[in-house]
Amino acid sequence: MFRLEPRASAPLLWQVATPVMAVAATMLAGGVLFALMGHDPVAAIGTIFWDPLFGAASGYSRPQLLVKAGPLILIACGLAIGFRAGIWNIGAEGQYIVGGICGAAVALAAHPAEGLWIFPAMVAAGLLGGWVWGMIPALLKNWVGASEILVSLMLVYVAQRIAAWMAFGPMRNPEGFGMPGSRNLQHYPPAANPELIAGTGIHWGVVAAAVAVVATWVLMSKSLRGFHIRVAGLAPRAARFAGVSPGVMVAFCLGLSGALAGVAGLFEVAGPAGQITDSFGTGYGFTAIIVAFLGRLHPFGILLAGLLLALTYIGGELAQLMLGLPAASVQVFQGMLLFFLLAFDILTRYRIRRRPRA
Amino acid sequence: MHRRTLLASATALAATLAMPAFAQDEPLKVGFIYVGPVGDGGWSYQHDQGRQAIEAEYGDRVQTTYIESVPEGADAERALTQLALAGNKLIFATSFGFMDAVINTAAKFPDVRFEHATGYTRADNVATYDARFYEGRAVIGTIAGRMTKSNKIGYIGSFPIPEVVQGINSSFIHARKVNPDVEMRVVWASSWFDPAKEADAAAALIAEGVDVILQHTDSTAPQAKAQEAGIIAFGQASDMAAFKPTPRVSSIIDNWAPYYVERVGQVLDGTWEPHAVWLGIGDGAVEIGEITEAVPPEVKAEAEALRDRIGAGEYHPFTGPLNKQDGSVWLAEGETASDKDLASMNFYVEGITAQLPR
Amino acid sequence: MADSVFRAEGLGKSYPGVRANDDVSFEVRAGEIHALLGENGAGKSTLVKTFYGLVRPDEGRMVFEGQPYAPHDPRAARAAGVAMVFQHFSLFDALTVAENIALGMEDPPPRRDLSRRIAQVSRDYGLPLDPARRVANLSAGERQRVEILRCLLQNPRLLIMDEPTSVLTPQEAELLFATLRQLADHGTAILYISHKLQEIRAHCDRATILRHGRVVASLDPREATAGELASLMVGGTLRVVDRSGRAPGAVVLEVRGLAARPVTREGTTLSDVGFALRAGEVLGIGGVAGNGQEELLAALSGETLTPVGTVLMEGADLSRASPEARRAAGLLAAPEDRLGHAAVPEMSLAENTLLTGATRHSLSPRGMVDRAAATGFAERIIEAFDVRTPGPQAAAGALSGGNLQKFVIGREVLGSPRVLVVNQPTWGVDAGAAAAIRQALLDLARGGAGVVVISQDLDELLELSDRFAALNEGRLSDPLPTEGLTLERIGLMLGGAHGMEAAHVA
Repeated sequence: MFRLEPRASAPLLWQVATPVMAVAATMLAGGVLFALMGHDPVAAIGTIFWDPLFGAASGYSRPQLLVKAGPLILIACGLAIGFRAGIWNIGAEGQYIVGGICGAAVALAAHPAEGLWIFPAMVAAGLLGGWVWGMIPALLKNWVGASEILVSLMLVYVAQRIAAWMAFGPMRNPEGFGMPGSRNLQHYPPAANPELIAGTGIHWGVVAAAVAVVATWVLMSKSLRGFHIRVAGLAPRAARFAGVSPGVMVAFCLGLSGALAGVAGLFEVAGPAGQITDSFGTGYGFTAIIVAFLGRLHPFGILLAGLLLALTYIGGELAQLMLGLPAASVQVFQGMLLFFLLAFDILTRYRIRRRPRA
Repeated sequence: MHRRTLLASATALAATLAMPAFAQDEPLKVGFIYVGPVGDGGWSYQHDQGRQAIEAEYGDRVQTTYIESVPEGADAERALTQLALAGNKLIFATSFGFMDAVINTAAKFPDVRFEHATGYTRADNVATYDARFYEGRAVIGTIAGRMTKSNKIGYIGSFPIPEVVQGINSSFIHARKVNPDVEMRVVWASSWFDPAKEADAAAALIAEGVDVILQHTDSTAPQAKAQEAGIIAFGQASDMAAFKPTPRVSSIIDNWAPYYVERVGQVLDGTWEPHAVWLGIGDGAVEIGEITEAVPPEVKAEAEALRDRIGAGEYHPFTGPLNKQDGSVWLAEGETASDKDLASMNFYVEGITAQLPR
Repeated sequence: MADSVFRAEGLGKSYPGVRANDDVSFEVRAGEIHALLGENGAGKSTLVKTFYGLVRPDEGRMVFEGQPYAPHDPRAARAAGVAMVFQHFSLFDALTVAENIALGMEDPPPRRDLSRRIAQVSRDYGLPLDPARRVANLSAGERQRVEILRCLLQNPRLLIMDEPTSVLTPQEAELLFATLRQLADHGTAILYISHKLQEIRAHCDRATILRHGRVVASLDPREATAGELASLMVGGTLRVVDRSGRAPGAVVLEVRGLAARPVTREGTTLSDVGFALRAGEVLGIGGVAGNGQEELLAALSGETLTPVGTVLMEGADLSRASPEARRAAGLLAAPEDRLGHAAVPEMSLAENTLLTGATRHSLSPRGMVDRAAATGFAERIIEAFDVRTPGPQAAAGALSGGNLQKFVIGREVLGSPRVLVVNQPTWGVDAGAAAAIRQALLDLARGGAGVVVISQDLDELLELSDRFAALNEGRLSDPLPTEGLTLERIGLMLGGAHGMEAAHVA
């Protein structure tokens, strides 16, 4: 028999090792699953994890990793800050959608004007939109004690309805024969967020994600505010004693994570997605929660986790294409990743001891 | 500028990858992207039936692959690109929302032909195709008008886009034609495929006294609700034969197989040209599923006669005199609606009391 | 004399670099209250964990009721008849008293029966508790009652108590001892760990004293003086607190008509609390836990804001000032709960200096943390207050209670406060550390600061304070000079027995 014994502190080795073990276990379990489905497990795992990086078409898929990882990392950085403080923003998807809508609104209102001010104004609108959507749960929590988990999650559905309304109503492309969806901002250069260096996949959103990683690291590891955020998550009473107002902390974390999710939405609507449609939210805000935890709520961990999740998306598509694996396999993969991470997390907090039978 | 260089490199890459396709005995690779899972039993399922028809028809001369559950937007563009990079020379993009992605990808791969369902933008290597679902709606609208006892017909809409509005108008016009007391209730599910919402919509209609349900959504959930309530309904997109003989008394089947087989043949013999087609009953793209014994023989005969007249081109479901909902004249006596009008239809005809959401 | 219930023979336990227990032998007899004495780090914890099945000894053996005894886990220990009340509580905040107790039982009876038994036992032993209350809302003292009750419900043959009276008033402690004596008279053996030499001398039948993991003496404490016991413990002579050289000056802190809402849902509302504190003065505030101590500290530290004009420092109104603004003004505080309130257990000592030292010691210029400065400050605290730790990067939670408390008090004392407010400064701290902390508080007062000591340890308050006031149900009595205060008088000030009854003697 074995028993679990709590550790006094989480060793760094385990903190790093468990995500790696989770990925390995996911590959293993995924391989078994694929084998049961009648596919060659080695080929399937290779297609998902190897081909996008080094396969025949990797020249295309490597930049796509950045395109896919950019919003995940940008959103996850904001979420991680809140999670560290014990503030659970589950509604980044909604903030992402609202940020995208607000940014697109600026562009569509300006259309067809030219001007260098348009894109910066869109960025500001994206930040602001996400911030406002994040501040709703913050204010409700501070004023009436509503759970930010539930409110932020419910606001995702509100945001999705707004996106549908926008796509069918106010933002519908007047030249679109009544079909839903806004104008495509990729075709409106002052508002477009194009690839900055050809063949790299880097657009302003990827740049912003890189900046966010460094800024999050500075905030969390170097600044007094970051220290207070960590204290608030570990020991709320100590934070209050130190002079951290819980209300201000809630507003700061939800506002910041909302703004980052919002601006991620803006970069997406002006770039890869191109337009507001009723299905504008494709789940980045939810996947970013996995990214944040897989990355141990640490910005550099998030960077790696974001790229890994992007890999599973793109590799999963390749596996469909090359091997005929069903699309659901990608979701199963991502689900297994989170499951194994949480399972292995026990090892960072506990040690396993043999227990002799009496 | 930058974008063009990327395109050049991608094209070059595609050319090298695609080399074997030009060898003599290599099969033609045909790719598909679906917006839903192939198992949706409706829209994507019917497109996949078309894909299988290609394989059955051409055997070793073709090789097909598909990517399912592709979100509209940036992910669609990547999925299309990967299909092209994998050597597919003909790619079917089977949802309206893939339109911009198709145009962008087509520009990168001039030697790949694209077929985009229900879209309106074309290019030298992009054809569009759509089906005149409203022709089928005229037939089942006739059956609905004859069959209703409460004189209330329910319609579950997905989104208020022209295709759906055509269907509502067409079925209403023909139900009224055979039963002047008919009223129509419309509930929007705001989704193409969402069994829970569709079931809720059906339940709401049944609660209002509706005894015939038409649906422009793809799940069988409304059929199940109709069965519970002991009323009748019509299959949509696929035959939904499991619900025969009642509640499903007939159905509108999207049959893409003839078109797909034809277009693949044209690529094989080098006669493929971009075009915009709108296929109807006469082309075999819209089929009326078996009318079951739950429908009296004289009604069945009447419906089949209407179907045959439409198929033969003797009758257009939108033939004047027809007024718009506000009473203004739309079509004068004997005048038929132009395709251009239909493609941007955003109004109800006179007699429908519901408001079209905007 | 009665039979031996429990005997340890040559127990030894080593950890990397530490010999925690070395050839420990002694026995506990039926019907006796046996004290285990020793400084923090003397090996008491390891020893009692061995008895309770949490630690396996490297050598030696144990005998329980004549049978060889080697529990491999606490469940086996409990099954054998050994119960233990820990110094640190293992209660679930979200659950009620009854639910927590049920969780600790092997075979809990139906909830209603259990609640009745809890009420019964708590009445019998003078430990008032409502079984339906949530633990989150209990004070430290009340939580300990839950732990004690949990053990008493198991009818143990050997009851191990790790400093059970440290949060009780003298009256409550007396009642507990009546309880223990009752248990002992029924044949239960009691192993009693404490630093309170007086109470051991008054109530225990035997005492075994540990130093550096070894038994240095086993004696009858009633026949020894407190000084003798203490010097056996520390291996030298105890420092005596020096109260000299203080001269109260002008009023530095004035509290007027202070009212504050409870910190927790079932906390106590403060009403009309008032006092004036002079420079160089120590004001002692006594009372049973849960009578507004936490609320008073929060109102002074700035965690709770109070109406304008209720907290005045050297003429400036700080009632609406944040904790940081109060610190800037020189009003510092050290809360009771070291783990999670005064310090963050998961963080290093260096990081913990930032909690309150950031502004007073310029540890974070322009909002960025100066790690070197924080580490340096932590080193100064460790040095000045003799905090036993590997270094400033050690996690606060890894320190023993006494060492962490020295660190917390040191952090505030080194902040050169004009006024320092402390709650339970020596709770769960060994005698040597407690003396050092008390001396630091007195030195601070001698240096001209005003000090408010909130404590339940009456000896401590009488030793430190120039004036004494009692907090009872959220109200503060008028402070009286400590000099010449009788115990009866103090008992009256404490509002008599708050919610207490005399033990029912069958």
